[in-house]
Amino acid sequence: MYSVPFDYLCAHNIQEALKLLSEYGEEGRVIAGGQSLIPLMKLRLARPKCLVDIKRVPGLSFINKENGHLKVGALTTHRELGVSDLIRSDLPIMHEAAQVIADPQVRNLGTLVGALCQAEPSGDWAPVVLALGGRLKCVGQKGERVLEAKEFFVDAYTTLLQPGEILTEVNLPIPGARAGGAYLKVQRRAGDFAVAGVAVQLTLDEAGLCKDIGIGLSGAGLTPLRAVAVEELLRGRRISAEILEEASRCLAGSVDPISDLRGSSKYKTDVLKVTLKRAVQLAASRSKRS
Amino acid sequence: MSKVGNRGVIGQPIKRKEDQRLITGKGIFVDDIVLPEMLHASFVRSPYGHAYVKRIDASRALGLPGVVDVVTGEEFAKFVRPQKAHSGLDSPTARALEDYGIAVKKAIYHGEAVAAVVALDKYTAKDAVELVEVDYDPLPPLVDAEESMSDGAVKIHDGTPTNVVWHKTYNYGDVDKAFSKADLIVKSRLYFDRFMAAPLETYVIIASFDRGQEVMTVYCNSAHPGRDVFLVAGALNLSPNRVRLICQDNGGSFGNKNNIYPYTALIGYLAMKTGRPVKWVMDRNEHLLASGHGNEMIYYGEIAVKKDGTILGIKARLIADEGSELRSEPRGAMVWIRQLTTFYRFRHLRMEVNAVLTNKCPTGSMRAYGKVQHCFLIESLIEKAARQLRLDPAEIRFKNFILPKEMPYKNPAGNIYDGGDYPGCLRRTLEMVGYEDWRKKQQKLRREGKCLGIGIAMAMESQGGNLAPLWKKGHKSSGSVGSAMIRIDADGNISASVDSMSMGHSHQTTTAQIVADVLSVSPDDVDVFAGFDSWITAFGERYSGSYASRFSTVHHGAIFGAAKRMREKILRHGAFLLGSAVNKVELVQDGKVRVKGTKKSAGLKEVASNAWLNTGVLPKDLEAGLVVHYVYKAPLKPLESAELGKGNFSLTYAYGGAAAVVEVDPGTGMVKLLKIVLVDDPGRCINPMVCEGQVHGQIGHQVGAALYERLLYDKTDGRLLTSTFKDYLLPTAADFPTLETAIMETPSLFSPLGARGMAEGGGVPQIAVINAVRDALSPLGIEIDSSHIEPEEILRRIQERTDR
Ligand SMILES: Cc1cc2nc3c(=O)[nH]c(=O)nc-3n(C[C@H](O)[C@H](O)[C@H](O)COP(=O)(O)OP(=O)(O)OC[C@H]3O[C@@H](n4cnc5c(N)ncnc54)[C@H](O)[C@@H]3O)c2cc1C
Repeated sequence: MYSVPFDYLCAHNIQEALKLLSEYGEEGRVIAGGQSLIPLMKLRLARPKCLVDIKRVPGLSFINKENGHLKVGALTTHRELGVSDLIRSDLPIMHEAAQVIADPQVRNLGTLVGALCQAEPSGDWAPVVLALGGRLKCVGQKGERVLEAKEFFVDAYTTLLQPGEILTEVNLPIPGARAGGAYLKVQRRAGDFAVAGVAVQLTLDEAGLCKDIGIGLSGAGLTPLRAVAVEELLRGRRISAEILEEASRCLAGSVDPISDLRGSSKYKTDVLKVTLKRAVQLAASRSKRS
Repeated sequence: MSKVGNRGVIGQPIKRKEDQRLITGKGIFVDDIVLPEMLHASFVRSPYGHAYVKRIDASRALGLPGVVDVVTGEEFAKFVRPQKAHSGLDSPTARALEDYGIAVKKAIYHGEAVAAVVALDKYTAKDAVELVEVDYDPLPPLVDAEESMSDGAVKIHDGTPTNVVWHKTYNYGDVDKAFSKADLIVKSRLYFDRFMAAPLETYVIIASFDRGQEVMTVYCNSAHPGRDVFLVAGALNLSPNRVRLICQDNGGSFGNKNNIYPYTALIGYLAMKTGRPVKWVMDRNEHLLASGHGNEMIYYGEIAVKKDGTILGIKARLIADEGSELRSEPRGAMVWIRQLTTFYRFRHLRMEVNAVLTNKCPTGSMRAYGKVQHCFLIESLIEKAARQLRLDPAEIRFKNFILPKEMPYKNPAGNIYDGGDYPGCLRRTLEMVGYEDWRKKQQKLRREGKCLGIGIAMAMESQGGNLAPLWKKGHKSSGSVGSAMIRIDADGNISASVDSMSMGHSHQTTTAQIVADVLSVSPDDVDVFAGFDSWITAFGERYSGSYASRFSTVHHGAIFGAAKRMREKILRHGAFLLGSAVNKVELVQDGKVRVKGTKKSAGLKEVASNAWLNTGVLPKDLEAGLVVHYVYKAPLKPLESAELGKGNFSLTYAYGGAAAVVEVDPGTGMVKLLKIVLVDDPGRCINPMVCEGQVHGQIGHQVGAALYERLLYDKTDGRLLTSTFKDYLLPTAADFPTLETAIMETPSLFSPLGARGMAEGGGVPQIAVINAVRDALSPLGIEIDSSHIEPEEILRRIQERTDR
């Protein structure tokens, strides 16, 4: 399995990367960890004329805490997130997801940002970033813009990024008191793409009612999804078996999983339903402990 | 069993000789070899499961700089003869098959080669493949064996009367009478799913033709090089001694690399045509599509039992889905029918066999080849009978076992079991898994709504096949030979070779152990040739290779026999040197020859030097030098009737027991393997560390088959859906609990060292896992009838039960 011939260019700063990309237009692609792009190229499903490698661009690998937010750079790898103390203490849901994404070899190379740009519908990072309400900083020839994660994933493997644009940073709000999060992934084997994944980040109020909630889904459709209707249903309610039953019915109405070898659309919907219940319950129990 | 040597090296867990070299990246695999002027080949493959090839236009490909040639199936068929590796089946369809390894007029499975590109480098070859334009005329594919055997079905091979290549019924005992006495008859339609061996290294071949000497040298990673020499020679119209086949390091086979030979002939032709060496490295996608798949089978099985669990007989109708060509098949369907009674004492059996062609990748050898399917049939029927009789699955097996005191035991087909302790093996398995405790835990968890299952299984696997009548008409027996060579040079250095292929089997280590034991030296003093070279190493004709777990029987026999001969030679030369009679000398530590009861001795180096260099003084009847080539023949009697399937078909009958504990998630259908144990009886263990490693592989592969790996074809277009590792799910270490294994040693009564083959084990872990899932779901009244189970299927079945 060999790719079609391509040019490989290595950028040393963002300006250079943007310039190189603009020269190739639609035919140029950023390469970060290569853990999605290279397999696709080897299968000849992706046939870029040129790869612009950004790994030598300085200052793109970081996990910084600023104003109640964690900022993660474009070159920060799955592994770096998985072992970061900051992530473990401030965004435990991300710590949890980092333990179940792919295998150690892939985690050493693959990046959070690369995964978001890939917009794999069965990936693990997108649902987590959706549940957390993350924002994405992008730069292009024309300047910088910030996008909401919830509007970023527009179609199958397609995002709002324009050709030549680079996503440089993910910005994630740190949840406050009485918050709890959980990422539950149902997978066929360790480190496989999800059959279904549910990320829940919620906050309970003093009375134990659900004050705020974000739910991100993997394996639920053509793109990673945010379960807006379910969030609305649960907001202001006490987490009980009955309401979870209702939530899972509501979820079934708002997803449309792709049938593939990991399961039919119906199966994935069923799995999403149970996983939703389990994830909300787990997040709620964690919030009580926090 | 003879007591060998005096150092007791056999049975020691010495470290593998291979490790240092392989772990530090110093192995030499076929792809590491680069020959001068070498070209690279790549195949154009059919995107259809069934289609006429109407026209191939290579002009664009030939226009790509670096492309040397494009060879179509039609051209190959002009110069390469079709190959027949199958067991000389005598049906009209089998006779008509012409297997070129490439589509000539019609592509008959997804991924079949239709043309080859030869280029200066591998990248150009791949790019050119895309530029070859092929016009296809698609036909409806037959991916279902039962459909394929129906009267109106399109014929996969034009001009054949039917897609059924073999139909025969074997009868042992009086089945109808046995069934008439039954208290209960249990029936099942069982499906054994298609999966494969997916070794780290795919097929790799380099062929180089010496036009002056007319010698074809092939470097490849075949697991059955002895046979391939003859197949390739036949295909290319060369005499077999002009084909030099060299196989060194091999990145795993598990049976799969027995199926490489059709490609070897094609690459050989490309080398002859271009006059330059040609290398071909199969990629992963091609390997999944078009190497060799495992046997897929459908059984309509029935078991007759008494209320107390006594088994009276079994009837089955087998439909074996062979894929589109007969390669190793239908040995998988044929040979092991005779062991269908496995460990159990019932004597009445009927098996109707139908071997059927379909539009799928040809099946071929794979670990537990043909046995796992049959063991799955009987173990599934027993399991179901036990449930209906409300007997514990262990209890029903104990009730029916053949006992150690009955050994050697002749089964209804005339196979003579070479010893073993079947009840002991199951007892040990139950102890290791903690059977009673799990049963108690299960009760408790069931009350909590959890689905815990405990599965046990036993499986048998034969080695040292008595297959000659199947290989060559008119021959009455055996065909199981192994060949070994030992040479001691004038400086006393010992080198040995054996006609096997080591693909993680540790043959260098265990061969050295046996030789060292017999010659009273250290295994470190024995250099063993890594691999096979038909011009240099020991070569036991078409049998040479590593398949059917034959190493521990015929190759042990060869090494042991060669070492004993060498020992004789050393003693005779030593006696001469010491001026003593042969019966007055003995071999002592470090291979020294000593006059018994004295201190008078000669070192191995001294003896060897005299034997090779001081030849003028040697007496007439003492052959110069220290070289031995020994061919071992398994002590097998002629078959009573090969036609009727009567006689002893194998030298040894290895077996093992396994137990698995699983938890099924009733919300998702996911199965989690909590515990797996396996007890294997290799008769005599040459190196316990090696045995353990082999068994680990067995567990990995066969648990994979039960829960992860399957080859799924699309029913409408005949495409293989699981054609990359994204969809063909291979489990990794992270999916397993700690593997718990044990070795039992009940020596074989017939094999040279008391050893049996191991690590194929009849697929016992797979069956144990399926039985565990069955057990977990049994309170819901769910029966599992397939050898592989998908979570979606489990959830659907649970929902059907609970929604009612
Ligand atoms: C064996 C295997 C198992 C895997 N299992 C999982 C799993 O269980 N769960 C899971 O979620 N994922 C899994 N993955 C995918 C993995 O997480 C990838 O690493 C990730 O999807 C892509 O990150 P990357 O840095 O490797 O991106 P690349 O492969 O380099 O790029 C991916 C895409 O994003 C674009 N891109 C990358 N960075 C930027 C940027 N800064 N700006 C703009 N565009 C950019 C590229 O152009 C490309 O289109 C697996 C991959 C493999 C090979």
